[in-house]
Amino acid sequence: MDVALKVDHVSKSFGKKKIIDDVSFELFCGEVFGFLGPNGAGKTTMIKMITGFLSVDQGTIEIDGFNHRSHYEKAMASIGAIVENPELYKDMSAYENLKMYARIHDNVDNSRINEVLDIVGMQDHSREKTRKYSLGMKQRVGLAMAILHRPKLLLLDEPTNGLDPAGIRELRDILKRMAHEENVAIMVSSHQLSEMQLMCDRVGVISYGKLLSVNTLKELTEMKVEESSLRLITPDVVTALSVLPDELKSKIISNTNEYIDFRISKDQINNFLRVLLNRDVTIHGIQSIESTLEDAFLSITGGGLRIE
Amino acid sequence: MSKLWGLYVNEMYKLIKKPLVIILIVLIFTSGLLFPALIKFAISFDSEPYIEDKNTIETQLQYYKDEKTKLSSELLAAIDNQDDEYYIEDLKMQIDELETYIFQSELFLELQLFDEPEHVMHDSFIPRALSSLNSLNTDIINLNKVPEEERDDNWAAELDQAGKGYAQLYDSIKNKDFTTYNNYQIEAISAFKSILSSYDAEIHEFSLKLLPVIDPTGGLNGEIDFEAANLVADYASLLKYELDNNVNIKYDMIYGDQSIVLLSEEQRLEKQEEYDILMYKIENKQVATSLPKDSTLISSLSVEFSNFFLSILIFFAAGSIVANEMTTGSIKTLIIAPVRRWKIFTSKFLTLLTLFLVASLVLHVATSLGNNIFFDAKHTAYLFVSDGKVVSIPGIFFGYFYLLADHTLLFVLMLLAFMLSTVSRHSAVGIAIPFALMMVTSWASMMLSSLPIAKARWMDFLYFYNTDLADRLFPMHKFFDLVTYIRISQNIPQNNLPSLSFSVLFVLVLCVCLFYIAFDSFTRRDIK
Repeated sequence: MDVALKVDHVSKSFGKKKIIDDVSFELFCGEVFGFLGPNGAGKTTMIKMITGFLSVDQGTIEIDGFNHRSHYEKAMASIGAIVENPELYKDMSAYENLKMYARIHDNVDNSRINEVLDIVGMQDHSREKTRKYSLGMKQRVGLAMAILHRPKLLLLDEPTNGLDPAGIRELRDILKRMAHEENVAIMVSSHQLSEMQLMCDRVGVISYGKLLSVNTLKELTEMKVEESSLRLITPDVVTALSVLPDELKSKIISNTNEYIDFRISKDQINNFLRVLLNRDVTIHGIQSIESTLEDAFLSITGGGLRIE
Repeated sequence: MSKLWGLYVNEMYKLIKKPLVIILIVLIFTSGLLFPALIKFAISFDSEPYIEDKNTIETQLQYYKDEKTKLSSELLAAIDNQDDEYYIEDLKMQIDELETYIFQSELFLELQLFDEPEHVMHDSFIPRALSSLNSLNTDIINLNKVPEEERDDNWAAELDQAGKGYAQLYDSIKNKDFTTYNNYQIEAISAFKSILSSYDAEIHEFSLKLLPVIDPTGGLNGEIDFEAANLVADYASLLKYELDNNVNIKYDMIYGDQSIVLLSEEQRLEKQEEYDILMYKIENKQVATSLPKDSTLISSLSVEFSNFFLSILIFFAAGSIVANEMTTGSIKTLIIAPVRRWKIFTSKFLTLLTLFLVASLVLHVATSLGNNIFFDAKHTAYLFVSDGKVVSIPGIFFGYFYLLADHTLLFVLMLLAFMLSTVSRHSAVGIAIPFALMMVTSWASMMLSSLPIAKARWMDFLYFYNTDLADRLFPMHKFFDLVTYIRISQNIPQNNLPSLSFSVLFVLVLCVCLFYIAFDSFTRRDIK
């Protein structure tokens, strides 16, 4: 498979704080790559370095075989991206925004503009000023801009933000089709694990600036995990919380008046329940609350960080 | 290059999509066009100058005659009564004065001068001719009062000369004949040559020869004020005398002193250029274009007025072209594009440059149109000497070049706004600081020049001593208002500005520094 993106020992610091620490990975044409990590892990910083917003302190980035530093324009010609929220010129329509973007790319004509507007379903609103658009509509136009020049590498930072469920599904289908039918390499950063599960072929997990692992979805779901997340349903939440010893309390992730979520190894489940039953805490049920992918994620990151 | 062009087109497109930009350009145009209309409307309330009609003059004449009869009787009685001699002298003076009035009124009626247009009676050679005629009339009356026993050949010659002069002047007024009037003046100079200094005689003689070349009608056609024509002719003659004799003649307007020193080489070149251009204007009948008119002041006022809107537009555009994109996040679209940052920066700078040139052009066209429509003002060609030949730049183009040179400070402050907004990434900083500097510049320069301190060398590095380039780049612009220049500028002490080459270099270095700081900040800094 062709390598669309090669990140080689890349580091970045803001002041004395290291945000990206010696990260290396490759992205292949025709795959959807999930970039997973909690807030502040360095996902957006990594994308901003690839897209030229931030300089690279150490290491190299190659896009479609072109060095990002020495052949900047050729490298960037292969990239389409949405970084954070898509920002459009508010006094112009979607069509005008795309038209402007087309002027600074080679081989993009009016028919291509109409084509991408059709792809993202914005043809009917393309002549309205974008200041009237909802966040979801802006995301669609942002995607249209990102794919306008038929990039080999598409970078999407939290692309489902603001989209309704139908929109998310539509986006998912578009991205999968682009990757698998048009051989585009797509990198998606998100904290929506369920989305990742449905969309991605491979997933890279990043935490505190370090890339902890890169696995296929299959590898992740088959990963043996030490701890699992459970939900204890009980009307006596207050009593339950007061009777648990400290070492078990530290396993609690969150609680409401009706349940307690906790993350615990299989060996500790008996002990946990015994303590509660001995103190006459009523238990209505116990259930697993997370997907296998999240379990794997938390296992990789050490469980100290939680994503939605 | 195609991408740079694409970026430039995009920037221009974004600019014209901003409502405030369009509003300000419309304001520049309308204010430039309509300001002269406002002035025209305001001065339309001025009362017409009063011109005496035939009946008034007849009534006045009768009154003067009655008064003269009354005073003559009083004088006879006073002489008879051997009254106080001062009283008698006073009566004689009053009668002489009344005789002058009577003479003038009779002349007005005889030559029907009350029917003449205002400019003939105020701005042509006629008032001077009337005044000379009046003097000659008094001379003749006085000569005729000389007792017969005192009359000799000189008396006869003087009377004869006065009589001939009177006839010449009378004919020149009656026939509206400037040539006759001017010949009379030339003959008078020749007659008095013996009592004039060679310097005065030479200057006056040449000046009188120039007058018919400047305006053969002597101001009768209403194009050139006769007094202004005299001033121009005198100045050209003075320059010729100075160049011929290699001297510099200076008048002290306050004490009336005159000093003559040798010309320095620099002064000689300057005076030679002035003389060549002045003679070119005289010989090519262009003096009329260099005289003060209502439109000259209105034109500069309307430019000043529209400049206010132009400054707001330029500072708004320069202060927001980068900062706004950073604030709204739309810069991302540009950064992701396959173009290097220097191209994005250059496209933004070129856009500002275009706006600067186009907005100045709009201002120039609007003020020119406004002054042309409401004050019939025309552009004056700019003349300068190159390789000993007078070269002319057509007025409409020169007006624009001059306006651009006059906007040197605005250009520098535009770069400052651009630099500040790029570095701070806040449009408020980029707009407010240059605007404040614009406001305080004239005040600060005025304050410094009014302080009783000698101009120190370090003051050459103050920007406002170097940005006022228009009149220094186009030194012969002073000839656009010859009268004011000859009357005032010549007598103002030389301002102690840095040399032109220093100022140009200073402005260039300043612009390069501002540009480089902005460029470096834009191309190298991270966008978080």
